[in-house]
Amino acid sequence: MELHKDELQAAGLQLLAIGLGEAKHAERYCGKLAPSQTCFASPTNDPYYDWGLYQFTGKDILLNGIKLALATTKAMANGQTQGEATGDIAMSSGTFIVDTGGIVRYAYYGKFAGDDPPIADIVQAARTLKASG
Amino acid sequence: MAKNPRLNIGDPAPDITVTDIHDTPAELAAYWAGGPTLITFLRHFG
Repeated sequence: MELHKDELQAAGLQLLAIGLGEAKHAERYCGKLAPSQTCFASPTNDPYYDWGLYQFTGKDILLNGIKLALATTKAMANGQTQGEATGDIAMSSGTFIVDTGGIVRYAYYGKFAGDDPPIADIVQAARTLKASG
Repeated sequence: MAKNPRLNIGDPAPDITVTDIHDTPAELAAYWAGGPTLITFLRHFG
């Protein structure tokens, strides 16, 4: 998301990132990799489960192996590298837009590592939300 | 296998408590109350 911060913020969004780990890991991530985002840490998977996220199974990995390889190649081509991982690398990712009333306005569940939503879809959802007042 | 159902558009967002970079508990609702918020759940930091 950091790569697209300008268009996301222009669409009226605050940017929050939550990761599995400790406060020091969140500080390192935001400080070095995502300075435009507000970062939070969760030491357990429970908040992820509350949002409908889940742990990948062997079946998920088998079904999405080629997509995972492509996503990894794309990330490396963009200069992204994998540092020391914290938390649970089997946990799925998710991207959501929540309005000021606490209602979900956009939801995307990653099906494999590196499965991020199209930025255009997020921006469109944000613009729709903004237009609705 | 998900422990809880996926959230859909129009569902209330669960207000979870997480930890900020100063190791202080923070509730997400306090943030989205301030404006539309993009929340990204990362698989991990790294």
